[in-house]
Amino acid sequence: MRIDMLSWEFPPRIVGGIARHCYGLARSLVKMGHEVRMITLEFPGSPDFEYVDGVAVHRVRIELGHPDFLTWVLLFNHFMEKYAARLNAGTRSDVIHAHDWLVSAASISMKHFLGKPLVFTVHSTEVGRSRGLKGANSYTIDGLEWWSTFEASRVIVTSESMRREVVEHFRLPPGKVHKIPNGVDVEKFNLEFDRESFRSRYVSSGERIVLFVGRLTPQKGVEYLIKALPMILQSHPEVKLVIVGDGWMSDDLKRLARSTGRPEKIYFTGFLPEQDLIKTLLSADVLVVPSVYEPFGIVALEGMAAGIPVVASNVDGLSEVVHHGRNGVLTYPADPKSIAWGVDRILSDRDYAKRLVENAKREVFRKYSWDAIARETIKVYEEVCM
Amino acid sequence: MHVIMTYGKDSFDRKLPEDFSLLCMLSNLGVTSRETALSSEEIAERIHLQTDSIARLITKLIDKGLVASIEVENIEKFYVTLDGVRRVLTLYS
Repeated sequence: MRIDMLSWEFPPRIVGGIARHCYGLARSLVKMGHEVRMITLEFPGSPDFEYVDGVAVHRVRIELGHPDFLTWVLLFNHFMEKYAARLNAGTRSDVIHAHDWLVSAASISMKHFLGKPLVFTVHSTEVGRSRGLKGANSYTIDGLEWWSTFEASRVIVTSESMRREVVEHFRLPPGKVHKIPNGVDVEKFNLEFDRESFRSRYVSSGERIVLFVGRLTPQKGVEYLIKALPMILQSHPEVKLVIVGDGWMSDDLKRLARSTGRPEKIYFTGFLPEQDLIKTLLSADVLVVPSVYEPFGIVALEGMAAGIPVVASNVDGLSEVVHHGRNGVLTYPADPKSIAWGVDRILSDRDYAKRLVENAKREVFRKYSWDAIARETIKVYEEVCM
Repeated sequence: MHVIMTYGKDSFDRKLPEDFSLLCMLSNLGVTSRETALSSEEIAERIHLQTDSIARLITKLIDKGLVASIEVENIEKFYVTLDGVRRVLTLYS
């Protein structure tokens, strides 16, 4: 089967989980003998075309920009559509698979000019991200999301909470919506390296790493983790909080870190390249995912695959991946006291933490391999191509 | 004159820093390489903001390593760095 996949992000252009999702899925589809053409956006320093693990990656140049976000999105959709038309003038795809509203316009046009079925994955919704619709842009984005789910032959979501959200909000027939979770590449965590030497980048001997990985934005809830730190330090003075990632809240969060009175106990790494990120995950003592909205939470899976105990907010898709007391610890969202309690639960009881990690690893291998996810996705393609 | 603040707030209704709003607009204009760099006057024209405000915000962005400057025919021009592009992308999910 030949699949044209559209996404505005694909490594090294990484915004959130979509880039990792598309990479993992596309690579497994190719391994299974399918042809995947990834149509994505240009990124500084990356070639316009290359094969990545057998995936043909086409990076579309945005020939005309605009400072307004929505205008810019519609412009780049036009350039994607133009590129896809040229690509399909040669060999035609069998199915179009679009990821999120940012590529809605291009993928819907492709469906009509190619006469091929469209599969649309909703990774999150505007109404969920924004806690309601706020202003003109918000309503337009919501409209684009609805339009895509209407035009698509099948809609894929990554969690039950997202299924409920899209079925209710977009009034879709439940049978049109398939849940296929995100995955994780467990092999990348089989890495040999000098762990102690790597840890010394962040901590001195005897200190323990409480890790956060994610965008520094309100959605990720990192401010609540920083507020929890003084409480954690009362019972675990050996802890150091390592914050991996970048975001527009970076300056605010550094100010907040200073206001705790213990800035020496908080280390901001900024953006990390993939290999350093893997080593950091493998070196940590506990991973905290304090999100206040999370349709899935791929970083929790990565922590589980890396073999570190996970403390996560009891929200949305996260609570479907992390099961309290079985493969991780769930805490109340936006609640520093609860986060401090969760971290203490892990750091105070090594046997408990070990049991959670063992269970988590088993589940990750069984339920979240990209090959299993690709097999489920192929079933959806086959249904729509019949 | 004032910026048409399409980047005034994030999806959680929090006010975005002014320099970050400018960074987003420069990135969406495609000012992300030496070849596409623009002067303060050119930026001011395209986004409808006074040149002195641009200069103030650009200085902040340069200090953070999110924007770089080059000189082309004795005119100082600016473009968003790779770190700047990455910072812009964190706004979305």
